[in-house]
Amino acid sequence: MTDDSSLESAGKPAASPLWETWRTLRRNYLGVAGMVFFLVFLVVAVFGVAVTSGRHPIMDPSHIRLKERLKGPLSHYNPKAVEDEHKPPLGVYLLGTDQLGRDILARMLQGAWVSLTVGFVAVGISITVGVFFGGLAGYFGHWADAVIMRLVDIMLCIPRFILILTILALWGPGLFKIMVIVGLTSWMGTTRFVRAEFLSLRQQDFVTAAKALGSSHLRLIFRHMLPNALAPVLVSATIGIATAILLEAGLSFLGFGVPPPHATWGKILASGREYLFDAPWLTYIPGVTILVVVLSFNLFGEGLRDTLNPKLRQRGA
Amino acid sequence: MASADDGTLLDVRDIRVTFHVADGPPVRAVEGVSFTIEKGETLAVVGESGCGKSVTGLTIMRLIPSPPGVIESGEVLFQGRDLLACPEREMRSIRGGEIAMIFQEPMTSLNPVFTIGFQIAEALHAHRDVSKAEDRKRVVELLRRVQIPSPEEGFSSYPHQLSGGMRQRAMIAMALACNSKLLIADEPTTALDVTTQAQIFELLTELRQEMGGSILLITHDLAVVAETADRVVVMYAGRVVEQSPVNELFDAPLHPYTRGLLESIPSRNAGKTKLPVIPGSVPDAAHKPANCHFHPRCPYARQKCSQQDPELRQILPGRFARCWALGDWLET
Repeated sequence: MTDDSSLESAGKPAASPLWETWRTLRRNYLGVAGMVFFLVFLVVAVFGVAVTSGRHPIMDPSHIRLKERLKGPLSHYNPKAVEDEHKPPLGVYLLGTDQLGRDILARMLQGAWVSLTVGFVAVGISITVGVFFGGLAGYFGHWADAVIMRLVDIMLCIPRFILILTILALWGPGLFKIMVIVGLTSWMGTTRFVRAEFLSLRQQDFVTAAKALGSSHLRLIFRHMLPNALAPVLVSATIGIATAILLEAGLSFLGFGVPPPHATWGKILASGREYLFDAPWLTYIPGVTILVVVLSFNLFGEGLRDTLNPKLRQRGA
Repeated sequence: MASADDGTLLDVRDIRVTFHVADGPPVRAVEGVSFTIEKGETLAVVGESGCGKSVTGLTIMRLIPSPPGVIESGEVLFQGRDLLACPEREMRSIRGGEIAMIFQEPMTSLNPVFTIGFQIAEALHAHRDVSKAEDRKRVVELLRRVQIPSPEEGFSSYPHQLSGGMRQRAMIAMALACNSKLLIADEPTTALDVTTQAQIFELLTELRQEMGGSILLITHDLAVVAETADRVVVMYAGRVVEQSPVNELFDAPLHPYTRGLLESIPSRNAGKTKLPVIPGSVPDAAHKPANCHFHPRCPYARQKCSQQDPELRQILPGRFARCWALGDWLET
């Protein structure tokens, strides 16, 4: 594609919006870096669940080797202390072992999957709820708007972390519960975005035109208007995933996360704290990983936001 | 006025629409507008910006944004059925099904995120069951009928990739998709350049003849009216001031406002004299002059005009006007 493609496309079938988005995004190097990390993280998480689950996993994240405690990254395993079936792949503890001699690499891989699912499911729930409420509020206005937006205000008043801690304390920890609670307490931002978009979309001629074609309310909202409001939703979803991962790590760190023996990044971090000076990798590895993943999601999200901003896009396309 | 005989498709009777603004007096956008549209006819509604012509069009479709807009009274009889009284469900099947509407801004009346083909297919689906496989064929056929060059490519184009004229053609194709009996065209060519305008009107006229539907053309462009309309309704400040067949209107305008409008069209051989204008400007919709709204600007105004409200009266056969001066002229 060259620069005069906009001229050519006058008569040609259109380049898809996706392709145009990519053309603009790729100029934003931080955004692209974020996207690459995002994709790498996806692959690693899926790979992680493949090698660490099942009855005889390739890498068992919960196998305890008491004679191999607190070994540093890249240290060789001791063939005399460990049975053959539990030796680390390549014969090396790539990321070291923890205070119980568990392979940190295996635990990190298992935790990646937890972070991924928490991020995606929680954001999926919050986006669904947020889009639904935001759409209704923005489209119908009046009392629907008033009721929904006051509900949003009320939800925003509740300190989320404390609410989650309370619920988990009452009903006990669990991965699924965390996803649902995080999802159900983080839809307010999306609602506001979507409502704002709908308020301006509602005035647009094409909405009146669609109405003049006899579209029903729901069809108007979800078929005609929603696709026009998706750009900010996509952006807030990307950043929302980062927030959810961070939140889950925080909960796990406090011991309210996924019950043992399942490993999550927050838990690895929490248990590493006690060996900060003897085995700093126990804190650095999960800490840096969380940092990099959250940062890359945020960069990707911001890159997307800049790309989907029509003003910047005009310049780019 | 006209009875609902067989030839009448749409009978608008005395509609009144008011917009209630948060601070300030209510704006009476339309005050008792009546007209009829016969089958196969093109009726033009002419007037300056803000005279209530677009609101009239939206009222027929019941698309007035409410609040602030309220349709206070009146009837819109479409084939004998009052559209202002029928339930929303029924109204939805009429919108796009029996009455279609195209809008002023082809730039913004198409959904920017969908292809033209998708949107026309939507219009097809909204009112009849069409199999997906047939879709493409029918949409391409429609695009061909509205003379979009290379309809196959037009099908998969996004609105921003088309010119204004092409977009308006696509809008017309959407309106055609439903085979409606009445097409309300709200300033369909205002945003287009003159040559494109001509093409669009040619297309509309052709299609009307082909399908035997009626058109309600809302415009401020008298040249367009002269070219396309059969009858003309002139509106001023929310009221109908004159209603005449198109030729009579241009030959001998009745109402002083219509006369002023026609006089202020620049013509080629009148280049040396100063172009006559109607003195003053359109009244603020919230503060209209009492009684005849035109009297402060009217060269024929007399005392009666500011004291009593004139009615829309038949002055000559088939010609109606709302003016005291004309009535006096008629009596003498």
